[in-house]
Amino acid sequence: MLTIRQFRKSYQGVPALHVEALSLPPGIHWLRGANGSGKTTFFRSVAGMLPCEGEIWLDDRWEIHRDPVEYRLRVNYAEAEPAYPDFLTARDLIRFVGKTKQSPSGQGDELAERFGLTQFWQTPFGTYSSGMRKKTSLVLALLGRPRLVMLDEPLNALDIAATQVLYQCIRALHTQGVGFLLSSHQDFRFDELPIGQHFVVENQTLRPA
Amino acid sequence: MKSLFFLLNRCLVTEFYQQSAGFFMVILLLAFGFFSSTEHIALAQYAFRLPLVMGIYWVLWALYGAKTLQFVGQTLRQPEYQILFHLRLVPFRQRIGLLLGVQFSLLLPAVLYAVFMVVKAGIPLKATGGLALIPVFLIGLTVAGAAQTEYWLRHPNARQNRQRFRFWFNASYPTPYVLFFGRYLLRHQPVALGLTKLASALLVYGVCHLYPTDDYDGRLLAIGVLLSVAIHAGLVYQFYQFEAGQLLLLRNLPIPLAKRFIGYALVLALLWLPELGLLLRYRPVGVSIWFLAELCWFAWGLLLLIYSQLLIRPLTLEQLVGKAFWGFVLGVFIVMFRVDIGLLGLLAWGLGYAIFRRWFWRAEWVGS
Repeated sequence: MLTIRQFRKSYQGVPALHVEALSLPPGIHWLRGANGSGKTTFFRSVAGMLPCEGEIWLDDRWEIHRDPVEYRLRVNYAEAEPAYPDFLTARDLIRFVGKTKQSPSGQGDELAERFGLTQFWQTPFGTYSSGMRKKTSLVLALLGRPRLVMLDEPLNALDIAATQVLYQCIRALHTQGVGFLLSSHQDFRFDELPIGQHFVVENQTLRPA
Repeated sequence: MKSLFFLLNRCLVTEFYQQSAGFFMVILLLAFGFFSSTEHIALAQYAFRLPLVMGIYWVLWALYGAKTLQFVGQTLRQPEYQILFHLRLVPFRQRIGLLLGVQFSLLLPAVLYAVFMVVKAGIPLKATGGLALIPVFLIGLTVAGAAQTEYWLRHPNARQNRQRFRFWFNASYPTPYVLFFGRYLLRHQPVALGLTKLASALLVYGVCHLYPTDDYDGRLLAIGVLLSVAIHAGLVYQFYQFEAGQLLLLRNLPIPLAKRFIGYALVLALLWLPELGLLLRYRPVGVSIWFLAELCWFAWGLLLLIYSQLLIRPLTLEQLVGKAFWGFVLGVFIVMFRVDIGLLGLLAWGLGYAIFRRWFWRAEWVGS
């Protein structure tokens, strides 16, 4: 699903993360690492939100630097602590992202309904609770027809009902061949999902656990 | 009491000055870039003699007071600052004292300028009326600010009623991408936006009226446009900061580079739209519509060129304003050599797009 070669990410010349070679097979994988270990840097780099060196291939077909548009069409990401303009509503964001990700008609509305976002449809993001912010970012990450979805601390701030909805979405997409890369600090949190491999981010690199 | 003031100071005062650094930079450039201290004193003397001029100062201070209050209100609405509502547990007198202290600290720049006016102009002129009224006005502004904050603390949900119209508007009119930044400016940077537009509009209006008074040619208008664009460097910086800080998600979206560039061009075109209106409305006799179109094309390209500088490497506001200033100086020389404005516009667009194309994906997007 995802192949990484000679990946390097630095901040103003200071090395932050280096992955010589890594291959992620299709499935649901769990990425672990202490605070500040570089999980978010890795996620953001693979999502194309941060510039990085090296090669990142999706399905051995689309490379992040060579095919920036095709690659991004198929790789989605939800931040651990989502931040969007406080004056935009969930609907503004879902419509905007859905359009660019070529989301099927009605997909955004359906996901919003399932996560209980529609009652806050007209409300600006700045007024949302942390749980609503998280739900908004999760809906955005599930839009379109992704091949890989990365969810950084997806269960943080989610209530039990929303957690179940998220599990259902992940399982449903997984059966359609969509890969997932999840991160969490707690060991017990993904026990309802068929986790494939475990990876650890430490000492400025990423390796199978 | 001391620890509470320290907390409020950190949450509201320090944060306000940090977040308003760009605003103060623009004010400093406008107020002290164009006027020397002698001219400030002359203006102050004028204010002590003419109530109308004093009234303008008061309006400006009141606008600044409104900006500080807007910041306080906005901070109180943020979930991470909900802790400030615990102030309701502090006895009334102490709480009012704290809020007065906070509001005074926020108004300090206006107070210091008022002290400068009093010392340099009011006292030498022995303008007793003005000398008495300035402190009364500033104390009133401080009390009004503290009273409004006290109201917000007592009515944490009061704003929900007033937001009904906004909710209805949001439901009826989803915001398209090109309006994201405009809404951000109106909501978070209204004073910086207002002052930039005011300075730029006065400049464009001025050159349009100066043009027929002597044997000027299109170069005067081109230099006016150059300066107007340079004045916008602060807003272009805000645009970059806005996307880097709140819309990092954009980089994950599958949007082709050319389409992204068009999006940025539209956002920046909207920013300069009022000046285009002014140029059309006050078009000097003898200046063709075609030449005005060339001027707009030139201005638009320059705005894109300024934006593209932020992609090459992260710049501070001061660095970007410095680049815009030197760009203006260089531009004046080129314009004086009668280089065709349409051609200069093409150069600015071409260079802007080339930098954008080369650096967009490589840019780090460092937000504040």
